[in-house]
Amino acid sequence: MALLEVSNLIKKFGGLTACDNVSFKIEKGDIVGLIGPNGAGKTTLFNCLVGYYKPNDGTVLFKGENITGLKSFLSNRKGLARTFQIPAIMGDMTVLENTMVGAFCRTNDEDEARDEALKILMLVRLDRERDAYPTELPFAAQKRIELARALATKPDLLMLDEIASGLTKTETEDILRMLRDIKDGKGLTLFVIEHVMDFVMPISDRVLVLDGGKKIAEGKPESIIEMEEVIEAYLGEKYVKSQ
Amino acid sequence: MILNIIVNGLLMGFVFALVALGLAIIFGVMEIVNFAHGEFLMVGMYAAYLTATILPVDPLLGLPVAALIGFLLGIASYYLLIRYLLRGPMLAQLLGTFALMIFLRYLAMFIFGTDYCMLNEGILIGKSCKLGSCILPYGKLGAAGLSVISFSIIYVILHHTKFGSALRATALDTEAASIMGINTERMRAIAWGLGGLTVGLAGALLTNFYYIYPTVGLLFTMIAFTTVALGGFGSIEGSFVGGLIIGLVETVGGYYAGPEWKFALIYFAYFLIVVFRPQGLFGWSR
Amino acid sequence: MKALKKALSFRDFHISERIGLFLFIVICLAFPWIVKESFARSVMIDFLIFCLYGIGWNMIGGYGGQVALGQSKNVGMSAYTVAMLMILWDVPWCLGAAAGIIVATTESFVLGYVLFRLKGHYFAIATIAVQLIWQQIFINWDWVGGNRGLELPIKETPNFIYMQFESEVYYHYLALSLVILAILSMNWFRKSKLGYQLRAIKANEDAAESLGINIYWAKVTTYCITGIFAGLGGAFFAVYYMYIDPYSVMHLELSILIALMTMIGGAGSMWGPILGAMILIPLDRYLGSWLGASGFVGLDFMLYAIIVMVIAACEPRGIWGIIERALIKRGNTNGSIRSI
Repeated sequence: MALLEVSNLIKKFGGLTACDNVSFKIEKGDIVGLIGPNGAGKTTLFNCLVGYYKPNDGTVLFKGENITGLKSFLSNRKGLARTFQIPAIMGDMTVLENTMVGAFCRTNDEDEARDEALKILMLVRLDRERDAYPTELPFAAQKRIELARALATKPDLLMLDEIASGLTKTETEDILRMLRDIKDGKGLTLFVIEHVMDFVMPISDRVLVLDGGKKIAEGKPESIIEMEEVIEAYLGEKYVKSQ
Repeated sequence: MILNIIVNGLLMGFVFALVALGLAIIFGVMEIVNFAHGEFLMVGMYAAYLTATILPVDPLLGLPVAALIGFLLGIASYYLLIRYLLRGPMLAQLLGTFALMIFLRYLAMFIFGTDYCMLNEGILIGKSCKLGSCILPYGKLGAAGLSVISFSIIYVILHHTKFGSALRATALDTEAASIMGINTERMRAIAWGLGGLTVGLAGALLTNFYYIYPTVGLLFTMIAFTTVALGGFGSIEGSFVGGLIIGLVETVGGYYAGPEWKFALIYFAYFLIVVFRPQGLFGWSR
Repeated sequence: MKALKKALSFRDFHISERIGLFLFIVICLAFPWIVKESFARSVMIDFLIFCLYGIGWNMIGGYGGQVALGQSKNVGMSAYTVAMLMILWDVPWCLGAAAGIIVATTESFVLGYVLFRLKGHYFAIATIAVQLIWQQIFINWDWVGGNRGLELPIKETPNFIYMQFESEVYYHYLALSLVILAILSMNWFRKSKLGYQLRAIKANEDAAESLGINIYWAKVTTYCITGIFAGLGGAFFAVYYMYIDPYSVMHLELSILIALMTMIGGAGSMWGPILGAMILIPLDRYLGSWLGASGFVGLDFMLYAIIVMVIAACEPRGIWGIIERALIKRGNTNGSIRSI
């Protein structure tokens, strides 16, 4: 049984079909990348999966259970966590407190939540900054706070929305290594939206390509970049024709 | 009998529409709720009242005075208070405009005491005409008519002038508007000025047949909110239709449920609207 | 048991805050022995009751950022419950207060359930509308006295069953114990799962929801807890003033005052409500009596309004925000002054 199974997902906004009959599977332990030009519908797909948007049609099965359209706090409790493209930092709370909010998903006790949060902060190498406020920290650190918070909810499937965007090459490599270690250590499955090819290609086992709401390709990273449809989506018909 | 009530309700409705117009404009241009809206009306009332009694002239000449004072009050509020509030959290905004309301309300109480006043002399006061089985007081009739005219003028300005387009652009997307070269700061101030102007005008119109007292503000604030909520926050047409409906609710409801329940009915209407149809009749669906 | 330990532990506060709290409690305890003048004592009791209201409101309004402007209806409903039970069936105060709290909390639950789907301004105005409706109902409801109000039956004093006393000193200690209870509850709340959830909701609702928080229920639950404190205040009000009517116990000004006061002191901070009450209540009572005597009605409210406008415009985090900034500047850096 696949960890996540999406079948014929459709999401429309008025006249615009943002997700057009998208289907795919993610097995436990996979790292799956989701790429596509801007406006392809990647974040919309994420939002439909976590229940932030209610899809117009199609089903989402998570661990065999139908979670289509379920509210995001419910899907989170079942093991689906996501980060946001623009870090949704909670400025009035320290880094530790931010992470504890995630940890409280699995416990009612402050001390337990704190312990869990501290462990996660060590994984993302923010334990020294635990009493700082997010606004005092650099952007790369804020991304790690996002990550820490999501990890604290002990997810089975972690969905990352452009976690490498806005980072320098070094920071990107850093977070790449960090994610690999965390993934192996916790037995996570990752689903990653990305534009930064240096990040998504090395880390993914498989890559999905979205364009105009439709899934146009799926496969290993090496073969994806050679596919005509993919090149066309990114670079246009003229470029392909001229090759 | 019932026809008389309905017609009078509609007349009140036109005035309510004008009262709500200012609130709709302000809320449309920047998402801040003016709790002091009713107090601006109260100021307009007193402006007209004083013009009529001190000068003394016909209360109708108090209209431009009230409009001007309302306009200035709106602009002053924006530059002295509102533009600072806009930077803060919502709690600060709400309580900030609330404090403005308290300030104006008690200022009026301080200056005028708590007495109820009424205008007794004027072209429109005290007389009525008969239309079929309906008795239509001139005061109400005039107020309704002038409300409709003012409403239409504002509507035309908003939709058919360059200035109006600039204002609406600021309402729809402030950042984009400012990139287009629109002085959004000035637009916001003018929105407040317009808000104050229209509601001050409404207040002056009300003096032809309504009591004037310092605490009248809260009631009209709630009426304005209910009207705008019914019409849909952000919709000008909505305030018009909403005003008519609320006018009917007030008059018809007041007749059947008794005068002491008149206002509770309006608050209840607000409650029902926001719970069951928060986008109102014409507002954007969330 | 663990909850009690949490409530009693202030160790994560900066030493200056702990000293401040200690002094505050000591002064309040000693107050009736130092100050014998009746008016001053009554101002102190008013202050304590507003601390009670404010600490309660701070949970939903300050921490949660949900501006519920209808607190006084809960105060009033509890007061009326206590009064009616005492009048009709001679019910002792403790039971009456419990009933009053249940009434207030139930109303909060139902109302919260209906209204918390609304956000922002819509919500705030809706709470005002409900408050005004309730007041109107009580004004027209003859069984509970209508607009003539209710007088509580006078019992032989001192009376611990019906909480009626000749001297204010008893009322002072009753109010103080309620305030201490509120402070401890608040201390528990801010360390609890609900407290963290609420702060997350205030910061970013969508993110909070994605972290497994059921936003709706978090808000409703907190609103009910707030109702408990309003209910306690109302129950006290009934036996302290011995007379209640819809204008004194269910009026919009009270709701607004509670919110204003908490905001001035610093909404969302632990000490905000107390600071706000400390400033506003004596100001209100002394200024009110002085101005009232000289015939300057309304000037006091104008003054508060100006204070609030200045604070709302310049330092929305209130007086506590100002204190925090000053202390941080002086070198107590690194967030060791806990604002929450």
